[in-house]
Amino acid sequence: MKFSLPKSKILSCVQDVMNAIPTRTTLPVLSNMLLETSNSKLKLAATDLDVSVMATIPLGSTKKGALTIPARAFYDILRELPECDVEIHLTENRIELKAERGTYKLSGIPAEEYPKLPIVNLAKEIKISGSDLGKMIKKTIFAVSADETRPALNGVLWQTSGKDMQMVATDGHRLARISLKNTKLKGLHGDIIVPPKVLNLLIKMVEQEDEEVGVIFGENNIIFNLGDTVLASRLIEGPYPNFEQVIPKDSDKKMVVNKEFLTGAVRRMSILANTLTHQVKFSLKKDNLELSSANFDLGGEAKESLPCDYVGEHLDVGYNASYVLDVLKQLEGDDVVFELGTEVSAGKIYSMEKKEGEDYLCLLMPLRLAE
Amino acid sequence: MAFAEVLDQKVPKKILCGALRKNFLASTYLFYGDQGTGKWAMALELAKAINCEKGQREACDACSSCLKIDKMIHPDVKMIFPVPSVKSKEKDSKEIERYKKLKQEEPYTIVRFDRKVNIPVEYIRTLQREIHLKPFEGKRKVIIIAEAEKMHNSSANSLLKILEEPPLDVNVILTSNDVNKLLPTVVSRCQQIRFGKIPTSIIEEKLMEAYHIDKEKASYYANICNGSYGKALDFLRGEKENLRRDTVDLLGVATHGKTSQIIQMVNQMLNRWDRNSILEMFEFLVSISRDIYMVQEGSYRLINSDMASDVVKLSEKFERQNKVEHVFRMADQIRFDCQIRNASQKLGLLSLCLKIKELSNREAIIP
Repeated sequence: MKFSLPKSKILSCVQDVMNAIPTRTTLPVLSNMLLETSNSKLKLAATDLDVSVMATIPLGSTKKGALTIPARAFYDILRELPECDVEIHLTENRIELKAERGTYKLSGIPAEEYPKLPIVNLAKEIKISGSDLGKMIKKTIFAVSADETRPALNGVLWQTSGKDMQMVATDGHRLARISLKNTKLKGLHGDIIVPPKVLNLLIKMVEQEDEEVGVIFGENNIIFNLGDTVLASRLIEGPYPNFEQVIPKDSDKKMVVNKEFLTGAVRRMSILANTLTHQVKFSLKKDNLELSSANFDLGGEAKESLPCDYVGEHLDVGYNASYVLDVLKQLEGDDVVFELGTEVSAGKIYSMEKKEGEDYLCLLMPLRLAE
Repeated sequence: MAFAEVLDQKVPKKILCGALRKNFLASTYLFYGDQGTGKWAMALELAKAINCEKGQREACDACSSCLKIDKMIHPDVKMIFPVPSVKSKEKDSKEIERYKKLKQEEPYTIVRFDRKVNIPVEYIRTLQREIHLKPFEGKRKVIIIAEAEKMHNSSANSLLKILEEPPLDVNVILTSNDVNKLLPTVVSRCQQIRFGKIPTSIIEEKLMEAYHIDKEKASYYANICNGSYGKALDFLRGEKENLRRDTVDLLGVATHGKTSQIIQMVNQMLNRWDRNSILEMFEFLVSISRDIYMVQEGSYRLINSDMASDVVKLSEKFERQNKVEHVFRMADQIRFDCQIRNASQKLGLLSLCLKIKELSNREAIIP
């Protein structure tokens, strides 16, 4: 079939789809991009078998047809073209591009050899505000584990329970959990584990804050419908470990400290912290938080005192500075709360300010302090 | 259709069909047996049956899932092959393409490499991540690891991790020509299915049907291949003729020549042929000594019927039957020692030839 489109329009779609083209693959057809025309629409799609990206462009009426073509070459040709209308002619196994004075031909692989992409079933779609989704993802994704021996932790757990949505990520050293009220869930219940790759891509693509994203929870995949672009990802096989169990319930010590002061201090401490453990020692005394770190290779030592709100016994506890900074970056409000038990139990960290319908909590496992 | 395309192998078929019928597949299968007996073909058929869109107990060979598996491009059916141990990603993918192409044209083909091959540990490590993702388009994920004995210990140990706790929607199929070289910890975690030799008559028929050759030729290849359709194809393509010729020549020297000539000849053979070929040479020695025995018994139903005149000439050298029987046993034993117990091929071949020289001497007394 034949159709003609302005270069900028097709290039922006191709750019989105290129995100899913793998750099190296054992299936040669995956380095191709699928072009499909039907119902006066052009569909472009690519997948690396983890994430699939599909984009549609409306067309005047055309015949039905499909072909996969080498994605990289196609993209490079389009990119180098001047701004003009591009005429595309797809035959059974070749594509021909005509633009201004030039013609470009590429041979493809039949579309039947391309993996079957997930079907977007709009009936099951749930609308979620893009900003909510972005917030939940950003606030949890940093804690996703990269350790491949525990595959369930390589993703974000997304729980839906009637009126609430909750996302959890942990790598065994830290945990982030956020729940949001959502009235549009239609009583949906379920747990899925979503790989971080698609979530990162989603944050990148949801630019406008007020845009709504259609989400379809499938059995084996999750689909995000952004209107013209659709993202899909395979899910990770569960079960997710029981994380509720590690959230301490009997933390009796509570410290409130200014977030900005603490962030600055921890940053400075981390310069002279042990390069392997990044350990920063938190010494809590009445209304006084003393931070210290030491790096014996450099022969460096650092110490800083901060005013804080703390009543209780003296407590020394060590944390990985970069983990503390990761958490502080995500917390909102001026003051943060540390709820602590002993020097070996997990510390709960949350913001002093509570937002209506939102609950955000981070857990941090302490490092064992040297005697 | 489907399983019927796998030659013979009634027992494996019965086990697998039964498991499919009762929906009771083992998470890991180990198909083991001689080269070219249909392990790969069966693994493909099983993968097709598991994922077939028609949902019957056998592959329909028509749906897109079956077709994709046949073309080896199904996203949920992961195939792992040994590759020559060269550290180059590009070369790897070329070798994999070659392997796939050969197996696609004829699943019974025995793929040969011009250097040592192994299954790199990275392949198994990427598997570890992938198996924990839900299937992309099929019902279940299937992993086929061809020639699993080519895994190094590190790869095999990495695989153990998968075999110990496979996700529920994964089936792993290992195929192996030499189960003794697999780690026992891997073997013990698999349901083992033995692939026996294919009856001569079935190979003969298939050769006639697939390659349009006359009955006499087909019967010759079927007899000589020792129950392996893959080897029969090797002979058909003329890839083994030189090796057989050399084997007969070697026997000639061993029976007629001086010791120095024998040593020279053995060295020549070892230079000319690689390890696997030398192992096959022992197999030829076994089959030729069997033929000599047959001639002495007055029967002319020979395996190596094209070499009848050579066989008759040799048979005159061993005038008492139990002499040739001794050669037969010894050749088989040395083949076993070289293959399984890592004996030196040079010593094995030399001592066999010297023994033959001794036995072919009229005055020789059998110990």
